[in-house]
Amino acid sequence: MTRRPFDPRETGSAGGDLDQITDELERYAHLTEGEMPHGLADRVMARVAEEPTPRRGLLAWLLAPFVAGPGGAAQLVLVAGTMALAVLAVVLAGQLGELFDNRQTGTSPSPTVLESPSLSPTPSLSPSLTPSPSPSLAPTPSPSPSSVAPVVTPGPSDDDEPETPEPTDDDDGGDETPEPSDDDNSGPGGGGGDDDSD
Amino acid sequence: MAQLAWHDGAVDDHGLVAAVLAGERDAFRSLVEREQGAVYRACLRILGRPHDAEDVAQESFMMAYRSIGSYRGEGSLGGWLMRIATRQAFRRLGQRRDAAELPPELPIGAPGADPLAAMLAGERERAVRLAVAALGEPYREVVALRFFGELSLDEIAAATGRPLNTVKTHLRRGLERLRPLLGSEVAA
Repeated sequence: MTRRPFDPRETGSAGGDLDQITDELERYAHLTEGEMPHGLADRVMARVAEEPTPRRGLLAWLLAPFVAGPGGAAQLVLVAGTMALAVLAVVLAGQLGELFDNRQTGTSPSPTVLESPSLSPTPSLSPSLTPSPSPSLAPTPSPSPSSVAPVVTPGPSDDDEPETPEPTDDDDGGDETPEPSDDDNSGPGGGGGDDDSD
Repeated sequence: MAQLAWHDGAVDDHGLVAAVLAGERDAFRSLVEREQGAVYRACLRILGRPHDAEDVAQESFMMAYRSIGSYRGEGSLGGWLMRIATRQAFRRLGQRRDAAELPPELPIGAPGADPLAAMLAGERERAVRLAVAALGEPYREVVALRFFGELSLDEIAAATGRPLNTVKTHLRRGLERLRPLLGSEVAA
């Protein structure tokens, strides 16, 4: 007989056919209640003496306050605080990592904003271009409305007040400035190049 | 002070584990002395050979000592230890079967009986062992813990982390699966 003889009600059923099986298992367990080998504990402890002191596992340490009774309250607070710090650290690490990544590759967003003003001086370039074309192109105001207008117009536009809108369009996103600015905004290559040069 | 307490059995499992983790090896000895009988018997019922059972019981205690820090206290320390022991015993049984299945030297339960009765008893014991070992998990574990490890269903539920009703279902299905395997033996 084992320490706890099997009761058919343990399985929630009335037993029936299973009684024979449980009886056989009980009989087998009863037959094998042999003598204990002598000195088993001593042999175990001799081996334990050679082992280092075990350490508490992380999961067990975390769960201990929930399982243990009264003594676990302080540890519970400690665990909660540790968990909160860990979460905070992970969030900060994530943000730092994101910032770092942006600096490494995707500087495009923030620098673009900064550089668009720096590129806005392109109007200053257009004036620099304008001087040369302005004299020569001055006589050709008519071509400016023509197809060449987008590219060359800046010069005359400076000369002609009403046409300034086009250069201003260029400033905002026209043909000359747009390429760099578009690159800055969307093209990683262009933006990266600018950043590298910076 | 505390050292006397665990020898008296006045210290609960958590205190015992805390003492072991604090380097008190005598605390572990008290655990070994308390559980060695049940652990050895469970191993013997699974393996059928005293020598193998002692070997596996010893190995199970060593494994428990090394990993006692992972004991989460959800069930009794004895149940946790018994689960380790039954797993180790089934693993050893599998290795033995891979090598060569040999019959036990003598029937465990009928020493000194007449040869024919001893042989029949040995065959029946072997049939029970192999039938339980042939069960799939989780049925094998639940049947072994209940009948070989002498744990209650509540203790099994706590040790395995499964709901009590799930354990009951596993036990009932395990017994049903044993019926075709042991039916002829039982009828005989």
